[in-house]
Amino acid sequence: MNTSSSIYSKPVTPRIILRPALASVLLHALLLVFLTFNWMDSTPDVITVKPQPMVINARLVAASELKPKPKPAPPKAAPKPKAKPVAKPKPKPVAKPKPKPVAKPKPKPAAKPAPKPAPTPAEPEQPRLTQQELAALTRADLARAVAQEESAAAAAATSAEMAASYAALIQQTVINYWSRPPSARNGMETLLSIQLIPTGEVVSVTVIKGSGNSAFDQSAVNAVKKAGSFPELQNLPAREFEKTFRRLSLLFRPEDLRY
Amino acid sequence: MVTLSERQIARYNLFKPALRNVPMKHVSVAGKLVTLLLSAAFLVACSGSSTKEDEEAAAAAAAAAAAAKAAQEAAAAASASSASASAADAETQRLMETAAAYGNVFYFAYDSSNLTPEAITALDAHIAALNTNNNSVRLEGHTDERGTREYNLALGERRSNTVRDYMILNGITAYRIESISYGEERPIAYGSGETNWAQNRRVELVVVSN
Amino acid sequence: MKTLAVALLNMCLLLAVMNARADLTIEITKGMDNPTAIAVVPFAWQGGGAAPEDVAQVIESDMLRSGQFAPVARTDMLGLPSTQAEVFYRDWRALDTEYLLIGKASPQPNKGMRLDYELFDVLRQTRVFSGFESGPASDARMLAHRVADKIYGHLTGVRGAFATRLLYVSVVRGGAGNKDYYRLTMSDSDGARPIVLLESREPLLAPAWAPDALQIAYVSFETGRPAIFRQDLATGKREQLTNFKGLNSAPAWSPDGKTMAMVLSKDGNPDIYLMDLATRQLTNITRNYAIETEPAWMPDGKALLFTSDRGGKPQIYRYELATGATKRITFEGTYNARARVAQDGRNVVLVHQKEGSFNIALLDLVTNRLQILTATQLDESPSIAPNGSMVLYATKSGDRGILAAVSVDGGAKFRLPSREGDVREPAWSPYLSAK
Repeated sequence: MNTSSSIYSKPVTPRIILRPALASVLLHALLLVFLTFNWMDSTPDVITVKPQPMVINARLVAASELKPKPKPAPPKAAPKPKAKPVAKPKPKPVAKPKPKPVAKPKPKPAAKPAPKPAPTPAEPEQPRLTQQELAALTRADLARAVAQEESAAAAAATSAEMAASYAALIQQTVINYWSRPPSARNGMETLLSIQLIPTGEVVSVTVIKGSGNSAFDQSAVNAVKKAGSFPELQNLPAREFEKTFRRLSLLFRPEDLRY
Repeated sequence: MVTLSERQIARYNLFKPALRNVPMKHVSVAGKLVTLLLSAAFLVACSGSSTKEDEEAAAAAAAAAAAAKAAQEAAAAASASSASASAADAETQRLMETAAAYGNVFYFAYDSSNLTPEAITALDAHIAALNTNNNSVRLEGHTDERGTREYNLALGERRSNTVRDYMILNGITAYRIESISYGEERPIAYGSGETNWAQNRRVELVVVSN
Repeated sequence: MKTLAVALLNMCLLLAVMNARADLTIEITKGMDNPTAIAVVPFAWQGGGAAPEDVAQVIESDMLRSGQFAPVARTDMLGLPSTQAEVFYRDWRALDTEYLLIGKASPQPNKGMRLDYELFDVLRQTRVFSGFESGPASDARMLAHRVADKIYGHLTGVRGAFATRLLYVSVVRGGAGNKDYYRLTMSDSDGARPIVLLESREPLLAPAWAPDALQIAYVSFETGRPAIFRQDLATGKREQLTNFKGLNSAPAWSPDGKTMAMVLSKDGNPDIYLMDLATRQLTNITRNYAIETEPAWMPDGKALLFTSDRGGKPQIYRYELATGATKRITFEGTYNARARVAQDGRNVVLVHQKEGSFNIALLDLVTNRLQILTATQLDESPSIAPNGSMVLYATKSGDRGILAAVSVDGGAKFRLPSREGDVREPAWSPYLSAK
């Protein structure tokens, strides 16, 4: 064997190959950048969900009217039997008919039943539901509404429509749990950032920008904490959830207050 | 290897037909329903107003018929008694009784201060009677309860002024006429509903003898 | 090299897609308010015998009527403290109370009375506010309203308007063929303690408060024709301000009390005139052939709102005193009349007709949004509280005229206690004291 021509005979001078090495470093750097860089500020895809302007006139739902519906009818205020505790509400000193608007969002144009007439002020007292019961009823309604529309057009929904539909659900749920303090005023603003997990549970709530009124800020945080979770988000495809609902912002800015 | 973009395109193509169909279906059903509801509401609204007008027309026609009948009877009675008095006095008497027979209340349509033909006929009789003497008259304008009180004061005055202007145009001197409005403050018929309201939309003529 | 470039590009795309996130901001612009639970404990009476007035009941009713508070029932209270030492917070936490008001009522020399009160935050277990009100014992209810004003002001940040008065006209029918009895009446803001200021067999309407709440003006037909009168509340002295031919109506005091706006039709058709109360000089500000009526001053005294049907049907117009410019401000509905402006200069209540029924509506002059506040059919004469929170108006219940109130957000409603006959034409007084 000619040892001089074997590749193992000669000591090999280590030689740094410039271009591949550079490329490797660059790729690793880019990888690090892309993984850590906060894309949120640069993507123009911002969805701001405002409350739907068209709202069905709601009728004060008497607890006695709540019966289980045999079929999945168009969304009416008739939740499943196990979802609602039909307890007599706490007797208030003066039972006045205070219509609580049960607004239903319309994520897609769908045929809904004709709006029910609003109650007249001289009505006899109806059993009033506590806020908890009312909120639970509304959530059940919304869940069913969203589920139905979902099943009807699941695969066809574009990403934006889906996001809007679930965002409206989150919005309405939080509205039902938000009780403002007496010192709240129209136009006050509190911005919260909340983090969700795919089960719909809220894992963190932080105040990003306060209103200056601590009671008002606290009421916003309490609203999210009382809502607790949005289990309907479990029906979202994982990709949609990650894209839009993993971390989102809630801007509390009342427009319906007395002052 | 299939690049990401190709995979995306494949998925989009799979769902495109469904995407096209489903939203369309929802819109057409909603559109039909909305159209139906709107046309129903439109028909109801239209039928509602025509009923009101019918009621008003019926009330006015009934009042006119009653007045005409009373006038006929009065005229018959007047012509019987005139034979025993002098011609001039008899004429005066006849005019006064004709005027009285028409009544001293003139009715108006909702939100209007225009004189109805029945009102004009009655007014002519009163003007004829007033031309035989030197009495003054007080015209009191009224409205029904709908609307605000101050605006109704102005509306009542508009009605009594319309009657006043007609009388001046037909020879009664202005200083003999006083025009006052009570707005909705002095109704004849209490309560709501067109039968009550129609009775309250009026001008009353009160003769003040000098 | 090309492969490398392609691979690099794909990696970028992959990472970009993976990290790209739609930035979702959800706006929450409404809520479902629970009225704030407050316990108003009966005040301890320090004098002998029974207390002359249940002041805690007056305060509790005021808080309840505002719609923003839910008082705790007395039968639920586990104790009746009147000093801080007697307060056990857990008793009140058990009732889900947020605030606790306790107090003492003590007689003072010269038939006086003094109310001392303390307000506690049950959750934070601290006293947040305290004070006292004193005055004649015969005015105990008004002292209680003043306490309610302070509590309301402290908790909401808005000055309370419970220590105010109302003017209204009450009509009792005289029976078949007889004239009705008209009574100009003044009462507390909750309808209590009515006092008849004037009784007449001829119509009375359009009561109006002077800005210092010491004088009033109204229209009376006692002379056989509508005429404007002004009356001093303390002495009862009356003065007839106008005696013109035709209409003399709708008196409205300017915010500085020096000018009276009114409606006169002496020149042929109803127009708005301004009368200088010192010189009695008149200025016509709406020379127009149409009906102009129902003037209402803006709180800065620089403009007036009024009703005019120059466009066919009654609508609200605005007149600027400096320039004489007039412009229409209502465009919705078939009939808009009798505007009244809140002290903030922004909210206007008016009578609004849409599809047949007459309702009270709120017009926001900044956003031009019109919101209907009532759902009955024949609502009229809205009058707004001096703190802008509630609107008092006249309506019909069956065949009877009654007074009712609604909050400007439409959430709270109440009716004033019913009286004999029909009640109409309410006017809410300004604040009775400076602060």
